[in-house]
Amino acid sequence: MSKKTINIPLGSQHISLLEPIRFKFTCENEKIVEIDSDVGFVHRGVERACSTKFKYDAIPYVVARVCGLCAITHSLSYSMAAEALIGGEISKKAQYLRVLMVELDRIHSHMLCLAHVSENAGYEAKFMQLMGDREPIMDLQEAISGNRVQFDYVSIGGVNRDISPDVVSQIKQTLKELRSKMEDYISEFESNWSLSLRFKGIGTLSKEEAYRYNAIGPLARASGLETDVRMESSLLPYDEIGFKLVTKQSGDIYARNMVRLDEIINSIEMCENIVDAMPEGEIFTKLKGKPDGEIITRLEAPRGELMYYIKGSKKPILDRVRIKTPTFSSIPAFMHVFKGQEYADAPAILASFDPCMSCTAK
Amino acid sequence: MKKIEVTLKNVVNVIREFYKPKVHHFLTLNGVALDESTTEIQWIFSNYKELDHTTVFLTHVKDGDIIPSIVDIIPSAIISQREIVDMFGIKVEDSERGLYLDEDSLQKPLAYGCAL
Amino acid sequence: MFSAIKRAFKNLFKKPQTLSYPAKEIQRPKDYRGLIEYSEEDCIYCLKCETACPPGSILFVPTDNPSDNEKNKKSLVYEYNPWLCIYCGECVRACPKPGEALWQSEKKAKIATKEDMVNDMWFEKEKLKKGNK
Repeated sequence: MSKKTINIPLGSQHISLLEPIRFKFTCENEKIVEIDSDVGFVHRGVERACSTKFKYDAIPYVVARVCGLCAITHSLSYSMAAEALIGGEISKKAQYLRVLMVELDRIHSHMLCLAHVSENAGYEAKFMQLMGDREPIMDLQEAISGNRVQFDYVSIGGVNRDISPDVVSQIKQTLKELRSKMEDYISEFESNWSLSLRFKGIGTLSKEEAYRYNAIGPLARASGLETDVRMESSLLPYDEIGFKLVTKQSGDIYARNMVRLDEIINSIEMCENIVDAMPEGEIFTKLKGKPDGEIITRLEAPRGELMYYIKGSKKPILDRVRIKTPTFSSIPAFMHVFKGQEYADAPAILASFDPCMSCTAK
Repeated sequence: MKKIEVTLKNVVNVIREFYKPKVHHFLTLNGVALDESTTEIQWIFSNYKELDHTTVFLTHVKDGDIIPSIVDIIPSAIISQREIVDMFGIKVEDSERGLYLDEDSLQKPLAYGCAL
Repeated sequence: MFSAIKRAFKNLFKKPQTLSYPAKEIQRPKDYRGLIEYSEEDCIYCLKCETACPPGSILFVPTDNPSDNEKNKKSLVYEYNPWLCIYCGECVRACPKPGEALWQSEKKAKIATKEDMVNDMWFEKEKLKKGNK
């Protein structure tokens, strides 16, 4: 005799859900057996707009508005692809400034995810403290580019604004204070009972399953898979500024938190190395010509691997722009992790994946 | 970027011989509308731990063809296949439409010449 | 575990971190990206700012009483929409005379009200531009 099953939705309105996503769980006595998901709530048609309405030199500004947290990685990835098709050299100083903004972005995005994880565990004071410590990083980004969220900093040929010596000393001061606070956070996340004991063994993804479902980003690195686009792509100078790969073995929520904390420390070291070794030169080179041909570029966004494919034929409007965002290709891995877990753990597991729905349904 | 031409009949066998789970990483499926009746479909792979290595399998599809599904070999391809059905209006085995678009919105937005 | 209890006790005596805006002014950083300003005497009517703008918030529209500038051969006048602009500065970089004909100031745009009829007036200008092409 088979057991009876009930359907419980984790709907698009839920008290602990930050993103517009809907799951329907089929449960037997609180254990999840099957899942159905719906992800297309914020579809705006960006790919069609890029190949019908906007010209090729206005697209970095359009594509940055696909996502609010990883805006700079989208416009940087498109600009690198277009520069490779037009042909021409970008100055070393512009490359270093671009990597500085990407790493500052990674720091504040990981802090947002950790704050959401602690709020789901019931520890609201940690949520407030992490959000408060995140504000000086956004002040730094405002001093460099002029805006806190949508930077409009990268265009085809280089960057738009230069960095002055006042800003350099402000960067060094802020990062020194942040590093000592991160040491406190690491010891809290390891030893506090509501943040460490409750999360061990929940939401596990083993290494074989990560290979089978093509997991990317911190989700894969917490299961022991050694993959990071920063060491698989030669477009940006990551080997000169001290990049280190961070992996853990257990694959549960606790391991994902520790991977994100270690990546924040590595990003702080990389930013300090960039500011110390900043070369001289111009920030913008004018490139003549229009894109012709096809190319694929990959970049490491805070949530995983981002891929752009563009195709042009010497006209002002491109033929095709294809965007593959990290959360889009992690959805099969998400749906597999839920099977066999308790229903009450579902919000905590979802917060540790760090989904970004406006990237997925572009 | 290495390009390999395949046909609709042998694409499943070619990918089954090529793909090794610990060496290759499946990225996504992609479609480009070339003209009124032809669309190009691409399967994109890359290698773990190697610098700048991407492999692309491509084929040309006419109106009315059905694309075979590779979900038995690579389980994470199901979501890319559903997106192709939504955006281009081409049929794929074991994938139904409805990932992004509703019943009453503009259908097949990326097909050739689909005017507003 | 006990450091959390010590920190919770210390937080009882600290001030809150939020700034009570608009009761208290906030510090804007230097080089704030503000409104685009235009000076008609120095303009040479090359129309490069109009092609460079990503959302299309600068338009040169035909008019019946043009200015006395000798470069204005097609009787156009400059129109700018501060509520569509994204303040990126591409128009200033594309202008052959930045700083004299077109520059970016540090002022903020005024808040639009219903009486301004922002969208309807802008759609009229776009129709004027397309109709006479």
